Amino acid sequence: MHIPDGILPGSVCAAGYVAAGAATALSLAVVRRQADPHQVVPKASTLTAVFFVASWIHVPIPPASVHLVLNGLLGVVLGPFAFLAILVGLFFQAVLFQHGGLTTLGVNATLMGVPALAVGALFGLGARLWVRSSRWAAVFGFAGGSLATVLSALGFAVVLVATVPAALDPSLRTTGVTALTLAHLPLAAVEGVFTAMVVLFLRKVQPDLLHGWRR
Amino acid sequence: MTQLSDSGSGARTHLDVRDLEVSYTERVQVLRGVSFDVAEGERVGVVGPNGAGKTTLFLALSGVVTPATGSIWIEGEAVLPGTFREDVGLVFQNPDHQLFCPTVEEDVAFGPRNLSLAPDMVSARVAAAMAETGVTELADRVPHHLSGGEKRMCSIATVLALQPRLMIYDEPSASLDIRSRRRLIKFLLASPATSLIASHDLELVLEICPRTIVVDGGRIVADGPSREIMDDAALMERHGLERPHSLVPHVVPHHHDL
Amino acid sequence: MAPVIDLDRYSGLDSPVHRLEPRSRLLGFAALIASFAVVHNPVLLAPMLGLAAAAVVASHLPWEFIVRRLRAPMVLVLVLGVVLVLASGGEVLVRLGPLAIHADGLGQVGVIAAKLAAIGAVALVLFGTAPLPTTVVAMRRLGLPSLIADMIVFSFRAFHQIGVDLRTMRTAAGMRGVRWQNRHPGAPSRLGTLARMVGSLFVLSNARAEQVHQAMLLRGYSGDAPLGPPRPVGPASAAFVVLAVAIAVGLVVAEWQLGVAG
Repeated sequence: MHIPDGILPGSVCAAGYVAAGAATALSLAVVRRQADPHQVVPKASTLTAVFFVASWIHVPIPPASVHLVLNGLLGVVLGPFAFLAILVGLFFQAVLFQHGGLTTLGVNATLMGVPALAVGALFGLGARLWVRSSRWAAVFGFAGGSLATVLSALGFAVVLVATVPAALDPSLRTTGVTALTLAHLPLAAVEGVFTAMVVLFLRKVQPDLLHGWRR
Repeated sequence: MTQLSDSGSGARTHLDVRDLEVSYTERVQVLRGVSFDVAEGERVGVVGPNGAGKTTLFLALSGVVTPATGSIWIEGEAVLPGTFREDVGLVFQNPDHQLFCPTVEEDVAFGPRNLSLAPDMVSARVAAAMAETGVTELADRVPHHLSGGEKRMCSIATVLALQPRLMIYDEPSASLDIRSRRRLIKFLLASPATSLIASHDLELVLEICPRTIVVDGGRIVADGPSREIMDDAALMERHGLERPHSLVPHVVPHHHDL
Repeated sequence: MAPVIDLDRYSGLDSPVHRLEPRSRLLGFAALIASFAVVHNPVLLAPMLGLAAAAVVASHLPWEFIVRRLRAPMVLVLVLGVVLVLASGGEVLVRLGPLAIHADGLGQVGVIAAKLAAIGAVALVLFGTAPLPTTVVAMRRLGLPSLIADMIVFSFRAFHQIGVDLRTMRTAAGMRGVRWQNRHPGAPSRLGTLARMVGSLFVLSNARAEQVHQAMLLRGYSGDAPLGPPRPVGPASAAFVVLAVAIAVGLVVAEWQLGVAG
């Protein structure tokens, strides 16, 4: 789900950077309102690094084997920091591994980061439920992981289909979007299950790592 | 493959290593011409400076690392390179790398469950491993919350549950407090398993292992009774080690006035 | 599983590009990359690729390094290209049974591949000719918020250790019977095992991060580490920025003009 360089028109890349810039500014504002944002930098950076390393894990989803995206998981663990972590993570993936593009960094960050923020916010709002009950934790974890993937896939599908094949029949565009999004449903299910499992684990082992946790 | 032991005790040869050579791509040779054998039930200390090749040797014995040449036989069966072997139990230096379940009991059960053993067999093995390492009361605790000594014994339990034929310990006493270290020593002395113990804690090796192998620069440079080897000050110093304090004769005053 | 991080391998060479002042290098190449993103007209592909090639040559980076790293995204793009070639409208070049190869699609694939090559190559020149922390400092001087700059540097340092941790955990799990390829029936779920490892990595790394943070506080860190005085911008670097920006603007204008005319 990382759009490489060269595919999107310059105008879309620019729009992506504008959107990412706005989301970054918003995230920074929220983060800075906390007592000392620099307290959280080592934690957020390490979790960014874990996200980055974990995204190399292959999960076989026939017929292929894919990398996990894990933006939902980042959302439930980092909350408002998730966008920044995804931005930095994508930067590294583009620069170190040429996975995803630099000109498309803005677009990719927006499409992956905004759903992460949304999922994180929902997760935080539902804290009262999942703090008390592991069943709710599993539900929220699954919903968060799969929803983030579906929203990102939908966003990617729309961007790709709208901008890429200039001569494509308009009626095919809706089909294209639907097809691309549906193709991501198996991945969304796997991400949902995986996120739920990690949430359950963290809830037991170190619940203060989950966004919204309070005793 | 002869089962006669060269260790002189008449016991069956348990582990036989011949002419082992291991290279990684970046460095030339990490292990060269390593040959030794270990009798059943023997406890052998493996000492040497950092970078000598001890960890690589252990990974080769476990089948994780593929040797360039040479052979490894465990109870007459060859270790096929590139296949993980559950009958070699390797206790890693950092217990955090081996403990990742939400409870100790699940972590100890993880190995037997991966072997698809029947549930009652799994429970039996878990109980036995936890009893042997003295961590039965920790069964429902979260491994990440335990102290260093407790984690160490739990990580040993997770390996024991697979009932390996050969136990290898990589720096088992690192970062342990005195009490935990003593508990570890008691456990090792009571353990009937054939064991290789790599440690910088020379006193521990001296206390537990009748025999010591010194590894330096990828080669075995000495192999013999622990007291003899460790008492040879020149040999120890030549290979980045020193004589354990307990072997230094208290004839000439040598404690500095602090 | 984990790819080798060797971006910094050639950051110590001595070339005209390596000798550029960091902010100038960043600005100039960023301008070029941005202009490449705008290029679409086939006429401009050759100059774009020529500029990228010139940058690679000037940097002394081995071509093998560039080609190897661009292989994977190229494959992705070519896969997309297959879709385009078969599905886009316009004039049909060749029919293969029920499938038709469209000229428009072929043209588009060519443009995309060329842009990817050019942008990718220049990006490698930009980031491969200096250690990453140096480039991040330049980004900070040019306005990147210090919080993000800090995150980049800390994450970069953490990768190696975390990669080692994960690799060791997987080895240890393998020695306890986990078969990632062919699971024994009745064995614990592999996804579950991975989830617990990732969770454990979070817990471990977080604990380590707190220790690092404490160590930093003890050494006077309070966020917003003051940067030393910047390297002065020499005439070569200044000339490079002016030239690169001029070329970038030129490309954009040319693209616009060709678009208007065509």
